[in-house]
Amino acid sequence: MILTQLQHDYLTELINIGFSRAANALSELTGDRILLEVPKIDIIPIEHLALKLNPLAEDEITTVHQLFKGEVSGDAMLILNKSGTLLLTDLLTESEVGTHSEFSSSVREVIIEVGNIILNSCLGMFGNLLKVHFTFSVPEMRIRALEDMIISLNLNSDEIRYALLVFMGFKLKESAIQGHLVIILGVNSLDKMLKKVDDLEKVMLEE
Amino acid sequence: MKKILIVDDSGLSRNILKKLIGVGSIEFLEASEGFAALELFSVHQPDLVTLDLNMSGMNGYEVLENFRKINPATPIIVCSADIQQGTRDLVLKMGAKGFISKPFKQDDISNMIDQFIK
Repeated sequence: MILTQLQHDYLTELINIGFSRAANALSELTGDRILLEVPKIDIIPIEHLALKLNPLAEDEITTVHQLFKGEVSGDAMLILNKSGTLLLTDLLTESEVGTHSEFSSSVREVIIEVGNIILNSCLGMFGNLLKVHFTFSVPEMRIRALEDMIISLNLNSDEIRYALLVFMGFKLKESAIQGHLVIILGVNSLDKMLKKVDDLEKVMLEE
Repeated sequence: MKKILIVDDSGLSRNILKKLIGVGSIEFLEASEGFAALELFSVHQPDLVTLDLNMSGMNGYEVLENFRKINPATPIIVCSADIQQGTRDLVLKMGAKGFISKPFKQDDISNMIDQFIK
């Protein structure tokens, strides 16, 4: 599915606003300023997801995912590679870099909280600006191979599904963290979302 | 006629800002990236600049620094979704005259115009 230039611009700004809100929440949590990169977005069929995410993947990836339901429903995921997960935990717990070398319970605790903040900030801003109300499931963290994550997306659905793929990067305490936000949407939900996106300028002027 | 230079990589935000400022006797100049912004700033000498921070290529901080070197008297208002206190403090320290958060609110934009244009 190809986005029009206008939809691409609108979605990028929407994600930028949501991601900036997430950075503010993380900054308040850590007391450190977070430097943001411009998010890059794409909409692709989920079969193409492996190819797009492959450069990020090492042996295992970390996903924090939350299902959301409403007029537009789907599955939102924060995806980090193993080294990014452990580095982010070190930085957020004010530990020396390299302190966390395995997926311990403290790593899980930190990353679920980060995932929760990022996913809720982005989807919350989506909901507010697109005038859609979502309900969210409890965030879950999983550690697995990229291929296994892709396979799990293909289960339990006959509908053609797409991924709104967002590459996001930020710097915390001089260290660069890169990850992806992926929002999986069925074709009907995607269609509804893009119609809302088309009206975004009008909605934002009415605010 | 007063001139306002809007620097933002998002067409959506530029359009919303123009509509919230209103037409009146204002000439809008628009740039979606830093180098074009610097050229417009130098050539047209706007009365007010609104500047996004998170842009590809030359980011808003670099653009702000360059604007201040070219003409430190021009008021620059940073318009950003990055609402971290540290960001706000930094741009004010760098010489911005104000900070407006995204999504835009009519009152914030009207206050900016009252303060710097009318």
